[in-house]
Amino acid sequence: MNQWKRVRRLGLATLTAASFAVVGLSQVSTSAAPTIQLTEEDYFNTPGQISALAAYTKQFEAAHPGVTVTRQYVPFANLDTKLLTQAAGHDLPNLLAVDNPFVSTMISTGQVVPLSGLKGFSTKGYYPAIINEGLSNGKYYSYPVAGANSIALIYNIAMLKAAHVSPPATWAQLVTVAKALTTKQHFGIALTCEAAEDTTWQWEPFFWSNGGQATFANVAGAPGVQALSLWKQLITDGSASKACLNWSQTPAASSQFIAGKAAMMVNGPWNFPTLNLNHMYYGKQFGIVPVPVRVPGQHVVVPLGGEDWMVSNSGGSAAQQMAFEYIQGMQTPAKELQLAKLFGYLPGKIAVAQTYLKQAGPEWKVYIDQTLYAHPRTLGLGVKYPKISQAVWTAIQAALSGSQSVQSALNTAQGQIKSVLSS
Amino acid sequence: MKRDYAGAAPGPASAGSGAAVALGPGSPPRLSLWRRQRLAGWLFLTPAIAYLLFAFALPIVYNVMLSFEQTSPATIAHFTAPFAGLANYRFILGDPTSRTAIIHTFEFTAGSLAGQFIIGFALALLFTLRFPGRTLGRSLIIVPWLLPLIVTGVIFKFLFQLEGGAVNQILMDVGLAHQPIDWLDDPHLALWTVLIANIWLGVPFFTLLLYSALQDVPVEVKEAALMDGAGPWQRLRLVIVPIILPVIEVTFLLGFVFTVKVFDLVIGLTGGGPANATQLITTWSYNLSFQVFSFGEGAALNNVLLVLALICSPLYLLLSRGSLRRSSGAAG
Repeated sequence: MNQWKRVRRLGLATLTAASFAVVGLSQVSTSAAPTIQLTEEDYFNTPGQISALAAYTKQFEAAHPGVTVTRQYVPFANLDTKLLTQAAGHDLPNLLAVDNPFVSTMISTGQVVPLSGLKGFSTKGYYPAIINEGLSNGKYYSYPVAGANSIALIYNIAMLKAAHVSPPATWAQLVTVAKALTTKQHFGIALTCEAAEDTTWQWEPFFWSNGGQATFANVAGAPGVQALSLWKQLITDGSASKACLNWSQTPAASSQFIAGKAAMMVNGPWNFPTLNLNHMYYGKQFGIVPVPVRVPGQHVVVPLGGEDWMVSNSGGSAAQQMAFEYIQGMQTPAKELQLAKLFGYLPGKIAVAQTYLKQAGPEWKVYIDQTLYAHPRTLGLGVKYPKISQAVWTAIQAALSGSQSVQSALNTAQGQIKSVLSS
Repeated sequence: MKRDYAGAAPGPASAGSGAAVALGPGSPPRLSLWRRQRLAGWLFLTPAIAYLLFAFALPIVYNVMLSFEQTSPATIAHFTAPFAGLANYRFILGDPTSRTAIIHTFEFTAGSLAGQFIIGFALALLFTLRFPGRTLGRSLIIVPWLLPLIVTGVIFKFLFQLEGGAVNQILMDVGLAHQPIDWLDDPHLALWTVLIANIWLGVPFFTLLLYSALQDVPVEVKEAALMDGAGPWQRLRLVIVPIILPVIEVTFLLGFVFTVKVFDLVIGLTGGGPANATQLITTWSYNLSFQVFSFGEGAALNNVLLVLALICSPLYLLLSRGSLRRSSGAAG
């Protein structure tokens, strides 16, 4: 009995000593190098994107002892809502990668910090359109994640050959070519007209290149009516399926193209990996030209796509500076090239994009060239953009489904847009 | 034994003086025991009350608050936003899409309940008959319940596709249609398509409840009606329906609650399109709150739904009380 007591007492003493030792050790390690635990949220889900981010984080952590970056994936459809909820609870992750139309919404929450106030920020060398996505009141709030993307006309080479037509450069050509390409097996072109942002985004190159205002204030004028009548014509001709009213850009419309059910589509470079996977290669099975313009000589103005890094005000200034260093480290030419390739994007700096063109292949040429004229959707509109975009896609759906004429659908939209702009 | 008598008497004055003598220190704790039990009762209720406040009252109150505020992403980091008066409600009344969403919700709910009841009741009657495969049929009928709503939406999207959709293929093969029908993209048809999908979803609920009610109809009553020379239609209308009426009423009310809040199905099937032709209160308020970030306007529209539900729940209580009375009357 007595012996047991002694053993127990001994055990207790050992345990206590051990726990003191552990506490001591952890105290030593904290005083040696300050630990910073950063959290990050994004919606990247392709294998290339995931591995690119994982590799970079590993490298960053190795270079910054005591710093950890924990990534959390949130599906595309939920990220905006989740971030707003977190902003409401003052609980944003240190790092966030958001779709660029959402950048101004995030800025307006007041829960993200201007990067231009942090040590080492520079706008030098970026495509103005890309770096301006995060510009608000003279301060910059974002860096591009892996550069940017946009859309162009992708066509099926064999189908064009069979119909003896060449890729269209003007709207008139688009109408005739699409008609010639329509057979029992496939439509001439796959449009995207679902009730969502990607419909407005698809229509923007047609409207903007034709003299439409970036704010859509003149959407019911000639530029808008002509651009929407073009789409309406494609559907009345039977060159485009009316089912596009339920098609997303990717994967719905793109899978129509890949499955050989459409000879053309307006889409972006993120489709290259999927196209290749389906044995469709640039120059052999598919070609790319800019989105056609109404009359020759018009500049193609495409909307600018891609995601941006932002740093939240969570944590102290040390955490904010460290979070900034994390995204700053991705802005070197070598890293930009690597990320762009793995993401299927084009680099955010002009010089790097030129190098990229040489390395990555000719399928990027059209996309890289038109980035100079690309327009960030929320520029000058900020948080008003989602409402405007909704008015536009609703008008597109109303006209194409036949519930309203092109003119009256656009009149409705313009009325709504005017009241949004004046609010 | 006046003392004993006084001790047992309920009169407060005599009981007080008498009991104190007769029972000694036993009397005062009797009162406090009652009080303690009450306290314990409240203690047991506290978690439930706390849960109700947290999970039901708080969101509703917050939603009402939001609907009177001028909200935007810029105000989201603060608990309150500038007071907006009735501006959000004025917006809802003036916004054509909100108005059509409210009308669509009524049409959709009425159509769903009618379709679900007719088909569900027919199936329930069918299953009371004896035929081979009856048990299998009865178990298959609940399949729609096992699928997540968003999956149902996607399945129906495939079925109703313009080109290559199974529904159009079948209709054309049997000669009912000469060209593909534009189920999802025609603004006049799309709401019907969503309605068909929702009826399919709700039929099992009606079938199961009505079937079990039909099982409870006494055989003697049915036989007596038969002996009296009542035809099948008369038996159904004058004997069976009155007996199961309480169940029918409650089924309708629950069905109403399930239908008025349908969201996933529409989002999966049409996303509210084309051109808002299938926009319901739920989908449009989600859109207002989380697509264009007008939380106040979304909350105001949602309160319309809340009012509908508030009208409904007393009705439910009234009906179920009435049913109870009737059914106990029938039993007696």
